[in-house]
Amino acid sequence: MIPIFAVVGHPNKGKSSIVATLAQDDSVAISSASGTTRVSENLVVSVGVSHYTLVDTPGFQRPASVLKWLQQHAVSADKRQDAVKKFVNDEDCKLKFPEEVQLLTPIINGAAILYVVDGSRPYGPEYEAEMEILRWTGQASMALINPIENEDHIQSWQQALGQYFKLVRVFNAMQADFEKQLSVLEAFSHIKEQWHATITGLIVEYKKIRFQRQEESLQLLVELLTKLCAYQVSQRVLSRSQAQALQAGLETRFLKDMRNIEQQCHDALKGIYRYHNLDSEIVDLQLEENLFDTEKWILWGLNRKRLTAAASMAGAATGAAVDLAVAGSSLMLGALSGGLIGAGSAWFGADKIAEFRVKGQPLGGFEARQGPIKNRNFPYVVLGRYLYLATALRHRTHARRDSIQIGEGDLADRIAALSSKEQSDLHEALERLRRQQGVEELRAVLEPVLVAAKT
Amino acid sequence: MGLMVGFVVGYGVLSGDSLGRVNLLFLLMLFAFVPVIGLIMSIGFIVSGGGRGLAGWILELPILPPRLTVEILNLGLSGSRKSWLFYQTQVLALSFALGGLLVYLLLLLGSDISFVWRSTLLEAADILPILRVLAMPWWFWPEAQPGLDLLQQTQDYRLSSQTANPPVLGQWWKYIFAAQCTYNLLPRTLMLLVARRRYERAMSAPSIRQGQGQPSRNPLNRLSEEAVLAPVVDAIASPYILLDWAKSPDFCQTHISSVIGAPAEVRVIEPLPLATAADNAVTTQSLLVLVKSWEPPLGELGDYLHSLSGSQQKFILPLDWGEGAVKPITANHLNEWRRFCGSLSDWQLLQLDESP
Ligand SMILES: Nc1nc2c(ncn2[C@@H]2O[C@H](COP(=O)(O)OP(=O)(O)O)[C@@H](O)[C@H]2O)c(=O)[nH]1
Ligand SMILES: [Mg+2]
Repeated sequence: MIPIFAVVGHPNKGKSSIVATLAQDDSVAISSASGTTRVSENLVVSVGVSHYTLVDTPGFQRPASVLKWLQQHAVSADKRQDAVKKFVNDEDCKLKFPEEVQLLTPIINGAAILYVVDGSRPYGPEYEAEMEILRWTGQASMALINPIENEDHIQSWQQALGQYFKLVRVFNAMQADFEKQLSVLEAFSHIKEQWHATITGLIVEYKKIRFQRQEESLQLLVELLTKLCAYQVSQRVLSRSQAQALQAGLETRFLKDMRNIEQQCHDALKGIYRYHNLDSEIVDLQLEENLFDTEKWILWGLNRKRLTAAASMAGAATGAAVDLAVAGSSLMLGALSGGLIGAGSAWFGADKIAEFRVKGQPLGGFEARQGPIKNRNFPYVVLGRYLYLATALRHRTHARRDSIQIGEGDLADRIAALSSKEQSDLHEALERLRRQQGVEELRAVLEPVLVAAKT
Repeated sequence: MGLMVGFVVGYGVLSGDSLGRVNLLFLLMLFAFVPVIGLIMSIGFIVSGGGRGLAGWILELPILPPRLTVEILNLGLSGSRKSWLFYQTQVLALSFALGGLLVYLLLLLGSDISFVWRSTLLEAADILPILRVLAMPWWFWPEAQPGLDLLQQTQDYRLSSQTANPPVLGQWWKYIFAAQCTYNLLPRTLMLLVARRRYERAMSAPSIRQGQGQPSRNPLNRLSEEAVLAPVVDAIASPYILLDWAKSPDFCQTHISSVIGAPAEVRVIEPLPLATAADNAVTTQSLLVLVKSWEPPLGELGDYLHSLSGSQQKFILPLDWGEGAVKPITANHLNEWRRFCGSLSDWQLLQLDESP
């Protein structure tokens, strides 16, 4: 039997948010306008091979009148559930109390109850009617206190709810982390004996999926770095001057393509974490600055020694020596003034982001080519942004509707947190990527920094 | 490339000295010993799961055009780079074997090769057992088996002028041919098939699944954007009756009185029974319904407001409070009430203007 939970409560207390978070589905309608959820909606949540159902319901609108109706139709305490059954099937009630009929129907059909209240506002006696109605259904139930604005009134709620519900949990719809989400399921496996085995299986699947997502995002990162570091566009024409004239166009196309590749990869990452309607924006005003900011290397842990080591392992120490000389001079400038750093970086960045070349072709004609990006900082920028998004996604819940501003994040700290071997492996790998040399174990090299980013 | 190298090396060894004499032992080295070592290394790579074969090392050399390198790098995307390199190594080795064989056959056809062997230490009787063991795989081909007679006749001393008769010297060709096929061509073909299988498997391994769209949700639960927002007023026609739907604490009424004057009467309202609400219809005084700003307007409240059907001025006042004091109402909550009020025909939304 598939476990089914109806999420019920007052309007605007985060019912839909909790459904979105638990179902890890960002297409659930959430709105600051009450009454957005008008009809109950079943969401089959597939977790690996297991399933369960969440029902998002409209909020209670007329609990006092409904309780009164029920009281008039239940002759004795043992007939209370029958009265609720009668209520949801009564044509007159369907017209007068559409929301309550909608929300009680799944419960009468066997759904367990997740009752949601707002822990940032005081408990009031006006909640008693709806809690009493829920008790009449005779279903297993748990109360979730959602601290929407603050946690000021959690205690008074716990006391009040404790009289109606066996289980009371604090559950922040917007922030509940993975463990917290599982603990709600876990708690339920204890109060509904028939579901115990299924829910235990669900929890195992959730953990598996979480691991799988990490593996998938690692693979995606490997793809992104390999692809972007090697990307180039070219075009063939008849004369050298025609080829030269292509420069501006090719550069535009090249940058656009690069951006698209990164964007697609970010979207795929969101897909892995089941975000389908999430906007993210790369704050890439700094791209050029980042690329040519020699100080960044130092920040990323590429001190002189490392830089030389990474470069010589990657096969060419001479380039590194030149780069180092530049890094050194910019460091000294850094000590002088911010304005001077700007000048120093700009000077360093005077060459193009990506190399533009025109080459004669063996069979006649010329080829103009843009890319790949040779800049040492480039793989770091791409990596930093990806890690930023991955971390944001992992710490987010599907109830949030804001967008993500992808920055470079705290790449330096993340790299610093790695072991010294892991650091030099990473630097070497990125250096090799930049030089268009293959990296055998890129996946294994990237894994530590991705995993570290997620704790 | 392998074909060429195989061809050149094969030619180098087979063309022999000025008399066209070829050292049998070198040939065996080239056509049996080296391939077998290479084969063992390849199998080692398969077993250890690592390695990328010769092709991997060649890629490290700066001899490939950059475009090809980039393409090969892209292979790394699907995680199949390693098996691709391994496959290429096998292609290389097989074409090397084919090149060697080809040049061998060509020389057999177009030139007279004299197979001889030289050794300071070894006697014909010493070498024979080794050659016999090597020849075991083609036991079914008697003409290609080594014999003591032949071996003795083909031993060569550079200083002696005595030369065995040429036809005898050529008789080794079958043996060499069989050795090439057995120790080089056949195993490499097998390895190539294995490598190919591995590569194909790596290619078909599931790649990243792209995010698939979600089924669209019930349209009834879509947000309706066309809601009318009621204007906010800050004055009320006195005298007024305060209908306390919020069961507010005393400091709220004190606060209200201080801003808009004291009400003529205060009634605490229960959602039920609705019948008593009808009493309010008879009065001509303004009505002010006090509600908790943070609780969304329920159907219950709507029912109550509808029951107040008199023609006097009617106001809703959402108020926020906590810790013994009235607080400013949040924008979200205000909007919620403006929407609600906008859906009612004869109710106005009141907010207390506290500026002096
Ligand atoms: N800050 C914050 N806002 C929340 C939380 N839960 C819900 N909300 C907001 O409250 C409003 C109503 O949420 P919704 O899930 O649609 O409530 P429902 O009417 O009970 O389904 C939305 O604007 C949510 O963004 C929370 O835990 N924290
Ligand atoms: Mg909702």
